[in-house]
Amino acid sequence: MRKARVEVLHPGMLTLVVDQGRQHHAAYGVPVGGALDARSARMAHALVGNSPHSPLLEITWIGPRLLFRQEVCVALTGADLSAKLDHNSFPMNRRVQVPAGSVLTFGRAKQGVRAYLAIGGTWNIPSWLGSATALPSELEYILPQSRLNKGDVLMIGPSDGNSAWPMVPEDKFRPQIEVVIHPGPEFQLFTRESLARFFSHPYQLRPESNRMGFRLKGSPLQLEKPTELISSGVMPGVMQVSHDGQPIILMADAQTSGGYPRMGVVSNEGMQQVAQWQPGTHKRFVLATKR
Amino acid sequence: MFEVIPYGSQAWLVNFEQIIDPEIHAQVLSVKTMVEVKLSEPIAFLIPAYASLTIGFETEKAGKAIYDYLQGLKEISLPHHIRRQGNIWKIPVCYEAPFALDKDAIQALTGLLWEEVVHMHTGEKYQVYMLGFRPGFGYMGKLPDRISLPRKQTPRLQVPGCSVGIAGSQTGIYPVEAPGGWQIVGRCPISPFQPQEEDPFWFSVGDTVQFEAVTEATYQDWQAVYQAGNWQKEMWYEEG
Repeated sequence: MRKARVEVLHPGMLTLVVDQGRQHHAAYGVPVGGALDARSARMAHALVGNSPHSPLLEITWIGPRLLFRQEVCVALTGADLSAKLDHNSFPMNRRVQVPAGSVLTFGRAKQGVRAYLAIGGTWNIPSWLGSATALPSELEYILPQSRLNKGDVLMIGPSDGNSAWPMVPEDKFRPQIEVVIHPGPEFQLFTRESLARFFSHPYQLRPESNRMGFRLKGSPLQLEKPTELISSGVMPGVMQVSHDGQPIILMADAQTSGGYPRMGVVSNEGMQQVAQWQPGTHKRFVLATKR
Repeated sequence: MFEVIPYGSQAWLVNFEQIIDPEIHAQVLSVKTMVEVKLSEPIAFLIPAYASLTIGFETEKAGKAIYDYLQGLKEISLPHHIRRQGNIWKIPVCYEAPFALDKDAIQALTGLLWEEVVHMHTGEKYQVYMLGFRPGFGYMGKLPDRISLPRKQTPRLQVPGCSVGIAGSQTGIYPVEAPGGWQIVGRCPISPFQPQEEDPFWFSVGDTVQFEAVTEATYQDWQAVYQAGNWQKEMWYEEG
């Protein structure tokens, strides 16, 4: 079977090739990378029958315009960015056979921020340390092709045959106001009063957030006493609190170590809500019940 | 010896006495090695640091097994020899003017002559305690007290790649150009991060590093060797 060609007519605001990232290299200071909303990504893969390790597109806020030269099987999950195939609205969270010559476009972000487009088959793209995901900031030169530009072409080969994933996880994104968070290693170092305010007042997502960290704005968290911590391992989902008392949730491209007190760790389900959090809007945090 | 703290639902934080100390760090490495070698449960990731080890896992079952194993480790005294002896690096650094961006500030802070600063920085064997900040960036220590320096008041927006810096009692080489507040004493001719190599990182936690002062001419010679494709990292270390 020949390869299917997908042409990027317009890249949108930020359209990235992502996958599960490179967790195994955290000990060398390499950010994990990968999809911010891993649940939506996994669901998209399952729908088209790709392995969960395959690459797919993470489409942020303003979507791209993609031309499918050959017929392919795709699935779109995550945020509702008003997708259309040619002039018809495009169904989300299901497998869709896209005819040759059709164009996928996006419009207004109705719900959430990040949509995930899986295309069934084997993606012919370069990887580094086992992942096709780009690296943040100064390291973007390592996999420059993983951020889509106008004129780029994705070549999708036939499925390798051993990637049947019949179980489709029930991870369809539904926006929620509440985010479940586990207490972090330094939870006890914060004053009870500021923790009480944290769990009773909403926090806003600041626009200067990116794939490394989401900066929140709300009632400041206070330490019982000033504390200098020795740098220690961190991972996506960790909520650390900077000197001004405002929380930062570490995201997929975050550094692997840090010295700020770790107030909490956002639950897996919560990270889907965080990844889809629209800047300027509010959410509340709920303490996880004992696991 | 250590405590095991829940770190979200898919990681444990193994916390040792919270000090920067070679003995404590040796314990971190012993536990890391035991977990890597003896534990059959799959581990998602390990992040060894100065006085902690973060252990990530996928399933609840793996998490439980790792927890039980760690509790069992507390009962036995960990053999020191279990951990891998790291590589012993000797790395050329040019401490001369174009590269020693904070020469004046460091002289003012320490009251030392530049030769004395260089002598002290090259006179110690440092341990690589942790990698972080950027891929391949090794946090090394401890520096002699006289050249342990606070970070710069205003961090630089761009510290050139390969710069060698000081922050507190730590030292390290910036693998790539990055913003940073470390006091810059010199520059290494080649980056400790080589993304095109199969093994892109010079350092592993537990390696030993000593710096060697070289002239700008020697610095340029090493760069020429590298650019001609004749450089191998094995030229700068021996196995421990």
